[in-house]
Amino acid sequence: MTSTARKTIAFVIALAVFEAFLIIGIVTEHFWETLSNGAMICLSCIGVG
Amino acid sequence: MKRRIVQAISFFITNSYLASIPAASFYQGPLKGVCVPVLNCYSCPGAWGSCPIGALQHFIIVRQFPFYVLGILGVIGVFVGRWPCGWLCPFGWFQDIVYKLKLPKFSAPNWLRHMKYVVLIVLCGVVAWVTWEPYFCKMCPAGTLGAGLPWFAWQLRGSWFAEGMRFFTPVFGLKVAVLAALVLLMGMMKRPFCRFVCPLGALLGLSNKFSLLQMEKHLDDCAIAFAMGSDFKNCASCNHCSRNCPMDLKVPEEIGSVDCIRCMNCTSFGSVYWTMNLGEGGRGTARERAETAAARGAAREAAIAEETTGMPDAPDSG
Repeated sequence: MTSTARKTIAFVIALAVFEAFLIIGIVTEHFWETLSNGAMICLSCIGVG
Repeated sequence: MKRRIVQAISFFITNSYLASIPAASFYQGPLKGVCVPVLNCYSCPGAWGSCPIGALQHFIIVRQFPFYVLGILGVIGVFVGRWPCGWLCPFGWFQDIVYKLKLPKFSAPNWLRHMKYVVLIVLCGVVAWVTWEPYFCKMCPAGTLGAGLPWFAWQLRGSWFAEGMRFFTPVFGLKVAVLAALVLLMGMMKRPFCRFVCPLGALLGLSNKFSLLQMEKHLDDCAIAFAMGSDFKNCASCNHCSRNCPMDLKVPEEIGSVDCIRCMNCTSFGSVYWTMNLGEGGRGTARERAETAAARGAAREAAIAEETTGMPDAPDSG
Protein backbone atom coordinates (compact mmCIF):
# COMPACT_ATOMS: atom_id res chain seq x y z
CA MET A 1 0.00 0.00 0.00
CA THR A 2 1.43 3.37 -0.96
CA SER A 3 1.93 6.22 1.46
CA THR A 4 -0.76 8.28 -0.27
CA ALA A 5 -3.24 5.41 0.03
CA ARG A 6 -2.47 5.00 3.75
CA LYS A 7 -2.92 8.73 4.34
CA THR A 8 -6.17 8.73 2.39
CA ILE A 9 -7.55 5.87 4.47
CA ALA A 10 -6.48 7.54 7.75
CA PHE A 11 -8.07 10.81 6.64
CA VAL A 12 -11.35 9.18 5.62
CA ILE A 13 -11.59 7.17 8.87
CA ALA A 14 -10.84 10.23 11.03
CA LEU A 15 -13.35 12.33 9.12
CA ALA A 16 -16.03 9.64 9.44
CA VAL A 17 -15.43 9.27 13.19
CA PHE A 18 -15.60 13.00 13.91
CA GLU A 19 -18.61 13.52 11.66
CA ALA A 20 -20.33 10.71 13.57
CA PHE A 21 -19.43 12.50 16.83
CA LEU A 22 -20.89 15.72 15.46
CA ILE A 23 -24.12 14.06 14.36
CA ILE A 24 -24.51 12.18 17.65
CA GLY A 25 -23.86 15.42 19.49
CA ILE A 26 -26.45 17.34 17.49
CA VAL A 27 -29.06 14.62 17.86
CA THR A 28 -28.58 13.70 21.50
CA GLU A 29 -27.16 16.68 23.33
CA HIS A 30 -29.75 19.28 22.32
CA PHE A 31 -26.88 21.67 22.07
CA TRP A 32 -29.02 24.35 20.43
CA GLU A 33 -31.05 24.71 23.58
CA THR A 34 -28.14 24.10 25.94
CA LEU A 35 -25.72 26.58 24.48
CA SER A 36 -28.06 29.21 23.15
CA ASN A 37 -30.43 29.72 26.07
CA GLY A 38 -27.78 31.28 28.24
CA ALA A 39 -27.38 28.18 30.41
CA MET A 40 -23.63 28.47 30.16
CA ILE A 41 -23.45 32.10 31.13
CA CYS A 42 -22.30 32.60 34.63
CA LEU A 43 -21.15 35.99 35.71
CA SER A 44 -19.16 34.43 38.52
CA CYS A 45 -17.06 32.77 35.80
CA ILE A 46 -16.05 36.11 34.42
CA GLY A 47 -15.63 37.34 37.97
CA VAL A 48 -17.95 40.31 37.87
CA GLY A 49 -20.82 40.78 40.29
CA MET B 1 0.59 40.95 6.43
CA LYS B 2 -2.03 38.75 4.78
CA ARG B 3 -2.35 36.78 8.02
CA ARG B 4 -2.85 39.96 10.05
CA ILE B 5 -5.74 40.94 7.76
CA VAL B 6 -7.35 37.50 8.08
CA GLN B 7 -6.93 37.63 11.88
CA ALA B 8 -8.56 41.08 12.00
CA ILE B 9 -11.46 39.97 9.77
CA SER B 10 -11.94 36.85 11.89
CA PHE B 11 -12.06 38.96 15.05
CA PHE B 12 -14.68 41.31 13.63
CA ILE B 13 -16.80 38.48 12.22
CA THR B 14 -16.88 36.48 15.46
CA ASN B 15 -17.40 39.59 17.63
CA SER B 16 -19.67 41.79 15.58
CA TYR B 17 -22.87 41.68 17.65
CA LEU B 18 -22.92 45.44 18.22
CA ALA B 19 -26.43 45.50 19.70
CA SER B 20 -24.86 44.34 22.94
CA ILE B 21 -23.18 47.70 23.54
CA PRO B 22 -26.24 49.86 24.25
CA ALA B 23 -28.07 46.94 25.88
CA ALA B 24 -25.16 45.97 28.16
CA SER B 25 -25.90 42.36 27.38
CA PHE B 26 -24.72 39.72 24.96
CA TYR B 27 -26.12 37.66 22.10
CA GLN B 28 -28.11 34.55 23.14
CA GLY B 29 -29.71 33.53 19.86
CA PRO B 30 -29.44 30.24 17.97
CA LEU B 31 -25.94 30.95 16.62
CA LYS B 32 -24.68 30.65 20.19
CA GLY B 33 -25.15 26.93 19.69
CA VAL B 34 -22.22 26.91 17.28
CA CYS B 35 -18.76 26.47 18.75
CA VAL B 36 -16.14 28.58 16.99
CA PRO B 37 -12.73 26.86 16.57
CA VAL B 38 -10.99 29.63 18.54
CA LEU B 39 -10.77 30.81 22.14
CA ASN B 40 -13.54 33.40 22.04
CA CYS B 41 -15.50 33.67 25.29
CA TYR B 42 -19.22 32.84 25.25
CA SER B 43 -19.77 35.97 27.34
CA CYS B 44 -17.82 38.38 25.11
CA PRO B 45 -20.27 41.21 24.40
CA GLY B 46 -19.95 40.90 20.63
CA ALA B 47 -19.62 37.12 20.38
CA TRP B 48 -22.00 35.29 18.06
CA GLY B 49 -20.76 31.80 18.93
CA SER B 50 -19.58 29.71 21.87
CA CYS B 51 -16.09 28.95 23.10
CA PRO B 52 -15.43 25.22 22.59
CA ILE B 53 -13.50 24.95 25.86
CA GLY B 54 -16.34 26.53 27.82
CA ALA B 55 -18.74 24.18 26.07
CA LEU B 56 -16.47 21.19 26.76
CA GLN B 57 -16.48 21.93 30.49
CA HIS B 58 -20.22 22.56 30.39
CA PHE B 59 -20.91 19.11 28.93
CA ILE B 60 -18.54 17.48 31.44
CA ILE B 61 -20.33 19.25 34.29
CA VAL B 62 -23.76 18.10 33.07
CA ARG B 63 -22.31 14.57 32.74
CA GLN B 64 -22.64 14.25 28.97
CA PHE B 65 -19.88 12.99 26.73
CA PRO B 66 -18.90 16.07 24.66
CA PHE B 67 -19.68 14.49 21.29
CA TYR B 68 -20.66 17.81 19.77
CA VAL B 69 -17.55 19.74 20.83
CA LEU B 70 -15.14 16.95 19.89
CA GLY B 71 -17.02 16.43 16.62
CA ILE B 72 -16.86 20.05 15.52
CA LEU B 73 -13.19 20.41 16.51
CA GLY B 74 -12.34 17.03 14.99
CA VAL B 75 -13.93 17.82 11.63
CA ILE B 76 -12.07 21.14 11.46
CA GLY B 77 -8.84 19.53 12.69
CA VAL B 78 -9.03 16.71 10.14
CA PHE B 79 -8.95 19.26 7.34
CA VAL B 80 -6.60 21.99 8.59
CA GLY B 81 -5.09 20.87 11.91
CA ARG B 82 -4.13 23.79 14.14
CA TRP B 83 -4.53 26.36 11.36
CA PRO B 84 -7.30 28.30 13.19
CA CYS B 85 -4.79 29.12 15.98
CA GLY B 86 -2.55 30.92 13.52
CA TRP B 87 -5.13 32.60 11.32
CA LEU B 88 -8.43 32.97 13.19
CA CYS B 89 -7.91 33.11 16.96
CA PRO B 90 -8.41 36.65 18.35
CA PHE B 91 -6.31 35.87 21.42
CA GLY B 92 -3.47 34.60 19.23
CA TRP B 93 -3.71 37.83 17.24
CA PHE B 94 -3.53 39.81 20.49
CA GLN B 95 -0.39 37.90 21.51
CA ASP B 96 1.24 38.50 18.12
CA ILE B 97 0.62 42.25 18.52
CA VAL B 98 1.88 42.45 22.11
CA TYR B 99 5.09 40.62 21.16
CA LYS B 100 5.96 43.57 18.93
CA LEU B 101 6.45 45.76 22.02
CA LYS B 102 10.04 46.79 22.68
CA LEU B 103 10.69 44.55 25.68
CA PRO B 104 13.54 42.16 26.43
CA LYS B 105 12.92 38.86 24.62
CA PHE B 106 13.31 35.42 26.20
CA SER B 107 12.92 31.80 25.22
CA ALA B 108 11.27 29.24 27.45
CA PRO B 109 12.22 25.59 28.01
CA ASN B 110 10.52 23.17 25.64
CA TRP B 111 9.10 20.95 28.38
CA LEU B 112 6.68 23.72 29.34
CA ARG B 113 4.75 22.95 26.15
CA HIS B 114 3.42 19.79 27.80
CA MET B 115 1.66 21.91 30.40
CA LYS B 116 -1.26 22.57 28.04
CA TYR B 117 -2.18 18.87 28.12
CA VAL B 118 -2.24 19.02 31.92
CA VAL B 119 -4.52 22.07 31.70
CA LEU B 120 -6.78 20.23 29.23
CA ILE B 121 -7.02 16.95 31.16
CA VAL B 122 -6.83 18.14 34.76
CA LEU B 123 -8.38 21.62 34.76
CA CYS B 124 -10.91 21.27 31.94
CA GLY B 125 -11.67 17.58 32.55
CA VAL B 126 -11.07 16.23 36.04
CA VAL B 127 -11.61 19.46 37.99
CA ALA B 128 -14.79 20.31 36.05
CA TRP B 129 -16.10 16.77 36.70
CA VAL B 130 -15.28 16.80 40.42
CA THR B 131 -16.24 20.37 41.35
CA TRP B 132 -19.11 20.93 38.89
CA GLU B 133 -17.52 24.29 38.09
CA PRO B 134 -15.72 25.48 34.91
CA TYR B 135 -12.52 26.52 36.67
CA PHE B 136 -10.61 27.08 33.46
CA CYS B 137 -13.17 29.74 32.47
CA LYS B 138 -12.80 31.36 35.88
CA MET B 139 -9.12 31.97 35.22
CA CYS B 140 -9.09 32.20 31.42
CA PRO B 141 -7.18 35.36 30.40
CA ALA B 142 -8.93 35.45 27.03
CA GLY B 143 -12.25 35.55 28.90
CA THR B 144 -10.98 38.29 31.21
CA LEU B 145 -9.88 40.40 28.25
CA GLY B 146 -12.87 39.77 26.02
CA ALA B 147 -15.68 39.44 28.57
CA GLY B 148 -14.59 40.28 32.13
CA LEU B 149 -13.25 43.76 31.43
CA PRO B 150 -16.19 44.86 29.21
CA TRP B 151 -18.68 43.56 31.78
CA PHE B 152 -16.82 45.39 34.53
CA ALA B 153 -16.85 48.58 32.44
CA TRP B 154 -20.63 48.17 32.11
CA GLN B 155 -20.95 47.94 35.87
CA LEU B 156 -19.06 51.21 36.22
CA ARG B 157 -21.20 52.95 33.63
CA GLY B 158 -23.71 55.40 35.06
CA SER B 159 -22.61 54.94 38.64
CA TRP B 160 -20.14 56.57 40.94
CA PHE B 161 -16.67 55.08 40.62
CA ALA B 162 -16.61 53.94 44.26
CA GLU B 163 -20.01 52.32 43.83
CA GLY B 164 -18.92 50.56 40.67
CA MET B 165 -15.73 49.32 42.28
CA ARG B 166 -17.71 47.01 44.56
CA PHE B 167 -17.98 44.79 41.49
CA PHE B 168 -14.21 44.44 41.57
CA THR B 169 -14.44 41.15 43.46
CA PRO B 170 -11.38 39.20 44.69
CA VAL B 171 -11.97 36.64 41.90
CA PHE B 172 -12.04 39.41 39.32
CA GLY B 173 -8.90 40.95 40.85
CA LEU B 174 -7.12 37.60 40.54
CA LYS B 175 -8.24 37.25 36.90
CA VAL B 176 -6.97 40.72 36.09
CA ALA B 177 -3.64 39.93 37.80
CA VAL B 178 -3.29 36.71 35.77
CA LEU B 179 -4.06 38.62 32.56
CA ALA B 180 -1.58 41.40 33.44
CA ALA B 181 1.19 38.87 34.16
CA LEU B 182 0.45 37.08 30.91
CA VAL B 183 0.44 40.31 28.89
CA LEU B 184 3.89 41.07 30.29
CA LEU B 185 5.04 37.58 29.27
CA MET B 186 3.50 38.05 25.81
CA GLY B 187 5.71 41.06 25.30
CA MET B 188 8.80 39.04 26.21
CA MET B 189 8.18 35.65 24.58
CA LYS B 190 6.26 34.36 21.59
CA ARG B 191 2.64 33.34 22.23
CA PRO B 192 3.15 32.01 25.80
CA PHE B 193 -0.55 31.22 26.24
CA CYS B 194 -0.80 29.23 22.99
CA ARG B 195 2.40 27.33 23.66
CA PHE B 196 2.05 26.47 27.33
CA VAL B 197 -1.57 26.82 28.43
CA CYS B 198 -4.20 26.73 25.69
CA PRO B 199 -6.31 23.53 25.97
CA LEU B 200 -7.95 24.27 22.61
CA GLY B 201 -4.53 24.36 20.95
CA ALA B 202 -3.72 21.07 22.70
CA LEU B 203 -6.84 19.46 21.22
CA LEU B 204 -6.48 20.88 17.70
CA GLY B 205 -2.74 20.18 17.69
CA LEU B 206 -3.36 16.44 17.98
CA SER B 207 -4.96 16.54 14.53
CA ASN B 208 -1.82 18.08 13.02
CA LYS B 209 -0.49 14.55 12.62
CA PHE B 210 -3.21 13.36 10.26
CA SER B 211 -4.81 16.54 8.91
CA LEU B 212 -5.26 17.16 5.21
CA LEU B 213 -3.17 20.34 5.41
CA GLN B 214 0.43 19.43 6.15
CA MET B 215 3.76 21.24 6.24
CA GLU B 216 6.67 19.64 4.43
CA LYS B 217 10.33 20.61 4.50
CA HIS B 218 12.73 20.45 1.59
CA LEU B 219 15.91 22.04 2.88
CA ASP B 220 17.60 21.62 -0.48
CA ASP B 221 15.24 24.31 -1.80
CA CYS B 222 16.11 26.88 0.89
CA ALA B 223 16.55 30.29 -0.73
CA ILE B 224 18.65 31.57 2.17
CA ALA B 225 21.02 28.59 2.02
CA PHE B 226 21.25 29.11 -1.72
CA ALA B 227 22.04 32.81 -1.31
CA MET B 228 24.63 32.03 1.37
CA GLY B 229 26.28 29.53 -0.93
CA SER B 230 26.05 26.73 1.63
CA ASP B 231 26.13 23.06 0.67
CA PHE B 232 23.08 22.81 -1.52
CA LYS B 233 21.84 19.64 0.13
CA ASN B 234 22.01 20.99 3.69
CA CYS B 235 20.39 23.57 5.91
CA ALA B 236 22.65 26.57 6.38
CA SER B 237 21.57 26.73 10.06
CA CYS B 238 20.86 30.44 9.64
CA ASN B 239 17.64 30.02 11.69
CA HIS B 240 15.74 32.53 9.56
CA CYS B 241 12.72 30.24 9.45
CA SER B 242 12.87 29.49 13.20
CA ARG B 243 13.22 33.15 14.13
CA ASN B 244 10.06 33.90 12.15
CA CYS B 245 8.04 31.13 13.79
CA PRO B 246 5.44 32.64 16.18
CA MET B 247 5.46 29.39 18.19
CA ASP B 248 9.24 29.45 18.62
CA LEU B 249 9.66 26.06 16.91
CA LYS B 250 12.99 24.91 15.56
CA VAL B 251 11.52 24.75 12.09
CA PRO B 252 13.82 22.27 10.31
CA GLU B 253 13.32 19.67 13.08
CA GLU B 254 9.83 20.49 14.34
CA ILE B 255 7.94 21.43 11.22
CA GLY B 256 4.53 19.79 11.27
CA SER B 257 4.67 19.03 14.99
CA VAL B 258 1.60 19.28 17.22
CA ASP B 259 2.65 22.84 18.09
CA CYS B 260 2.75 24.08 14.50
CA ILE B 261 -0.10 26.56 13.92
CA ARG B 262 0.26 26.57 10.12
CA CYS B 263 0.88 30.33 10.03
CA MET B 264 2.95 29.82 6.86
CA ASN B 265 5.65 32.29 7.97
CA CYS B 266 8.33 29.68 7.31
CA THR B 267 7.12 29.08 3.76
CA SER B 268 8.55 32.41 2.60
CA PHE B 269 12.11 31.01 2.65
CA GLY B 270 11.50 28.32 0.10
CA SER B 271 12.46 25.31 2.22
CA VAL B 272 9.03 24.67 3.75
CA TYR B 273 5.86 24.08 1.77
CA TRP B 274 2.26 23.50 2.65
CA THR B 275 0.90 20.37 1.04
CA MET B 276 -2.31 18.46 0.89
CA ASN B 277 -1.72 15.21 2.70
CA LEU B 278 -3.39 13.11 0.04
CA GLY B 279 -1.13 14.14 -2.80
CA GLU B 280 1.89 16.17 -3.74
CA GLY B 281 0.28 19.46 -2.74
CA GLY B 282 1.39 23.00 -3.28
CA ARG B 283 4.88 22.57 -4.70
CA GLY B 284 4.44 20.38 -7.71
CA THR B 285 5.22 16.75 -8.31
CA ALA B 286 8.40 15.05 -7.13
CA ARG B 287 9.66 15.11 -10.71
CA GLU B 288 9.03 18.85 -11.04
CA ARG B 289 10.82 19.43 -7.75
CA ALA B 290 13.80 17.37 -8.88
CA GLU B 291 13.95 19.31 -12.13
CA THR B 292 13.80 22.65 -10.29
CA ALA B 293 16.53 21.57 -7.86
CA ALA B 294 18.70 20.35 -10.74
CA ALA B 295 18.21 23.62 -12.61
CA ARG B 296 19.13 25.65 -9.55
CA GLY B 297 22.14 23.41 -8.87
CA ALA B 298 23.30 23.86 -12.46
CA ALA B 299 22.85 27.62 -12.19
CA ARG B 300 24.94 27.69 -9.06
CA GLU B 301 27.66 25.52 -10.61
CA ALA B 302 27.74 27.91 -13.58
CA ALA B 303 28.01 30.91 -11.26
CA ILE B 304 30.95 29.30 -9.40
CA ALA B 305 32.67 28.44 -12.68
CA GLU B 306 32.18 31.99 -13.91
CA GLU B 307 33.63 33.38 -10.69
CA THR B 308 36.66 31.04 -10.88
CA THR B 309 37.53 31.40 -14.55
CA GLY B 310 36.01 34.79 -15.28
CA MET B 311 34.20 33.14 -18.20
CA PRO B 312 30.78 31.58 -18.31
CA ASP B 313 30.70 27.84 -19.00
CA ALA B 314 30.33 27.01 -22.63
CA PRO B 315 27.09 25.17 -23.33
CA ASP B 316 27.37 21.50 -24.17
CA SER B 317 27.68 21.03 -27.88
CA GLY B 318 26.61 17.41 -27.87
